[in-house]
Amino acid sequence: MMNNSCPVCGSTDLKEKGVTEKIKAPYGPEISFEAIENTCSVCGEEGDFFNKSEDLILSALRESTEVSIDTILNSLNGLEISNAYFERALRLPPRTLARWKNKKLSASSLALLRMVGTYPWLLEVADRDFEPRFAGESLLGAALDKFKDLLTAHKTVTTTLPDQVSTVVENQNGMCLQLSAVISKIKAAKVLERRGPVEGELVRL
Amino acid sequence: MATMRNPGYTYRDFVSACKKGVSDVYVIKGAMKTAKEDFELKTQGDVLKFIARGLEKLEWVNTKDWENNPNPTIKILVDAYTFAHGVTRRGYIAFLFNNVTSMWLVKSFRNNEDPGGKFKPFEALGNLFPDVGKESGE
Repeated sequence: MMNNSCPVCGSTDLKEKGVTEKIKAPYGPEISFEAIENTCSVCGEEGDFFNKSEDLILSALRESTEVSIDTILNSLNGLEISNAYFERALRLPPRTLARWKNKKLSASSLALLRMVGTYPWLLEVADRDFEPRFAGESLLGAALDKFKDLLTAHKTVTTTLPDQVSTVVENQNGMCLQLSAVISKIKAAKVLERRGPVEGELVRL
Repeated sequence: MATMRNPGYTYRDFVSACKKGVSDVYVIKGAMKTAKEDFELKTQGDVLKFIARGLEKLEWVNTKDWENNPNPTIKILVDAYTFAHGVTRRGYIAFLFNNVTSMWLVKSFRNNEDPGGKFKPFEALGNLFPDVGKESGE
């Protein structure tokens, strides 16, 4: 590259200014930093011509990533997933998560943590040695839960009924009620399939 | 504007420059913006590493004169390609070699906006329940 020249037109008539930018890692907070922006007075091109902002961007991203590790682990703990269970389910050595908490983790460990943070039910799948049928059922169960959440949110937005009945209200065509019933039945069937019927239990699914 | 029948550059030369890094290749601001938005690539270095690692299922789209050439007396061509990104997405890249500055420029780096190729699971779900949302005018 020509030193101190515009990469588009080659002019050396350049201006430099600081621009506040924000960046965040997945599950991390937004971190502000002062990026450098050049402007070419001849062709009007703007940008970081000499890549002076790269270190600043990477440093801000690292800061956000470090916070995100605690955020993900705390959120898993909030779901009653202990660090010990996390390690056992994924067949990781003991104290792995303690090392991660001290920010000693590789890119692949970080990717794994983000995946589990996004889909915590993956741990149960791993714990069952990735058994295909269980994996499929877990996926379906998680999808149904998500779908139910979406429907509940939809109801909350559309309903105008009083507070005392708003938690059980369904929309006009009763679709939410029917879907909730279907979801409950599928879940009950899964539980029954795993544990088998108890003697004398009436099975009506 | 002239459209060529073959790529204007040897793609391998461009990749070699990307491997050298930001000393040889500059990502134009607009391309950097869409690289961030569409591919989560935060820095110019990230974009160049992405390219240097090898774009998959590369397909040449066209080669045209550089529209925004600040020095039109010097003819500069732009090569455009699409590439696969994962299972459902395709990306679009356009680049040129600027003889004036001896720099490669990444002019575009974004999702390829092919309306037939988009993955729209929620649209399919909406078709299953066409009445949902009608009451609230969604």
